[in-house]
Amino acid sequence: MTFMRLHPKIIYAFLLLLLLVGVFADLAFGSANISLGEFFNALWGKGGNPTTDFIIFHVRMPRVVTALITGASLSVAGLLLQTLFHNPLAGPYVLGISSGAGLGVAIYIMASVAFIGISPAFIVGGQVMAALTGSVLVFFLILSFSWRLGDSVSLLLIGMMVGSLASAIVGILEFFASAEYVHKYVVWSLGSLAATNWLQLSFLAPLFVFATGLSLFLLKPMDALLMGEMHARVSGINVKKVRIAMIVISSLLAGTITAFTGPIAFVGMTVPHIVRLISGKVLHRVVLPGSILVGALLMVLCDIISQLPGKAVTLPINAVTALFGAPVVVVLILRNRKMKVTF
Amino acid sequence: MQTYSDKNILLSTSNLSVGYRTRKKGTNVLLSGLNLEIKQGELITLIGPNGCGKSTLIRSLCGVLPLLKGTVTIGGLDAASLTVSQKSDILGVVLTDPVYEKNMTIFDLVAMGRYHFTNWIGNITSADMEIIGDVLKKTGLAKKAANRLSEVSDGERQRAMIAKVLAQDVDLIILDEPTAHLDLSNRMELLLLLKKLSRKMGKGILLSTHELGLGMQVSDKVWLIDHNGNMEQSIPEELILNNSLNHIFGNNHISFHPFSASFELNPDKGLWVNIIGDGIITACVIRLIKRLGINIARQPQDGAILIEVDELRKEIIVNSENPNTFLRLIDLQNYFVSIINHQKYNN
Repeated sequence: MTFMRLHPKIIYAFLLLLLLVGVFADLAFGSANISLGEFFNALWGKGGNPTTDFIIFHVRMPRVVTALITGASLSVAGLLLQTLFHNPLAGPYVLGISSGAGLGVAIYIMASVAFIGISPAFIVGGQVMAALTGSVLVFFLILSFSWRLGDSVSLLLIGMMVGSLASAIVGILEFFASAEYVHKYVVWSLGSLAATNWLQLSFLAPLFVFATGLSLFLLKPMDALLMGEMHARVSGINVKKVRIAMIVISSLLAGTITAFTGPIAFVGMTVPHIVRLISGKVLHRVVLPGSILVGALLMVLCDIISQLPGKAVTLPINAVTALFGAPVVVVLILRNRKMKVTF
Repeated sequence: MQTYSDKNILLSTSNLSVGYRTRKKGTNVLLSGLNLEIKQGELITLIGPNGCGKSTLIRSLCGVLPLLKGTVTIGGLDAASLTVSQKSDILGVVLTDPVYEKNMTIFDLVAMGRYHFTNWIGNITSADMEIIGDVLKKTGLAKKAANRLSEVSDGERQRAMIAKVLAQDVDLIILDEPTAHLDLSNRMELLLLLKKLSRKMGKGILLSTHELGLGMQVSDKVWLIDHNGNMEQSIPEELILNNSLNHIFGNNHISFHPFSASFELNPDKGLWVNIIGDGIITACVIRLIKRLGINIARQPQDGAILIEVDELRKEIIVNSENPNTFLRLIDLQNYFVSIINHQKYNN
């Protein structure tokens, strides 16, 4: 594969170009029929058609920005967790954070009917708050375990147990709730990039920049962790501190994103692998920027694909990421046998 | 090379106790009262039975495990007062634990030795590059730099770990069982590399190993730990002479023989032989007889079977009730095996 021998910087420059094209394409095409001429006019402020302006600036643009942030955040979280757990299958799901968010939303939508008679599911932002509360609670639970547990494997198992527990409770809630609310929950659980507005993004974007910025300070110790915990310790790295920092950052990213978009599977686990395969490197100073780039690109592409049916129908983003992404990873692995995904 | 006060002592301990503190069982002291010293240019092997505290001692010296008592002094300063990067200027550690990320290249791994010298992102400067290139050459890995760890042999991987610690540019190297998982030639090569580092570059080296024979051939000093947590610090030949190895590793089945400087099976058959001869065939006959568990008498004695070896005619003559002449060692073995079996079934 000839492009494997290219320097990562050249590959990344190409991907960045692709990302720009993707962003424009995602803005230009959608369920509303806007011609390319109208689109560019509106973009340069010469549109004059308030409906078109509104669709582009207040419907499509927040969605595209959400896609960018979501893809990048989940990928960074996935990378951190894979390094933390020394497990190539790790992703934002393994700590149970996403399940916590799901539980929060489930209780909010379905259980509150049983207790207070009405569902508050129509309060603006209530769902987001419920998801945030759920993921924050799970996060503190996991964090308190991580102080006590010496090794990452136990933490991984506990994270998965917390996840199963949350899913079980959600299952019981679904069993007893009425069809209307179950449907509402299922729609949330399929994920959506369209539910965020500029106000929410003004919270989400700085948080992404902050958390990702923090992760840059972990680039070196995370590289050392690639050797293994003991190797890192004798190299003079405070593994415990680094591990806590990694948990905080990845939970922050995965928890908030899940709160706003619903659970989006697949991206966080696979994007770091895609980056390792196309760059041929495993060091974080290469893979982390690459994951931001590829994660954002993948998410924007998935968003475009989800709108391909045209008109009123938009495919659930959670299904598209897996439908589109899984074959890509399989092809990459098959074409590059030298770089093995270590299972 | 830096110079230190106190006759170039790189590391010393004073009244050191090592072990574990557990919440339930309290303190478990494995070794105590240790006064150790590693000087520049010294190669020291740490030997002892499984579970005696070798790894615990090494981890305590490296500062990964808390000390139970006493102090460790590195480069003339109390190790507890040193910062991580001060310590990394003097001490480098090599562990045998497998490296998790198998897609890492040899270069990446060796570059990790520059950890405390690179900037916050870990960028490799041209000066770092030069050092890494140099240590790759010294460890014979120059051609393998771009290979992933999954593509190289165990021996090469272990050499890469040593290259990494050389890239760290330290005077003191501590290795925990570097010979584990390696075949004989790789073990020898590794130990010779360490010897070269101590001789030519003046590094102080401490390694733990189960390789008694090879370890004693290359090391200047041996720290020998017994089952009760007592440590004997000596030179290899002294340990052979005072029979220490036998006390620790010997048992009903094997014992240490000073002449071969190795462990041999104890004879367990009621047979005695007396061997006359001098040369390579005789040596092989002696080995064969020992291997079968038969006693060898120094002097001709009653009831001992006499074996005469004619090195020139390549004949082995066994003088028993009915004398036999053997041309091949396998026939000699078959002969004695039949005697042993005969005895066994008649008793």
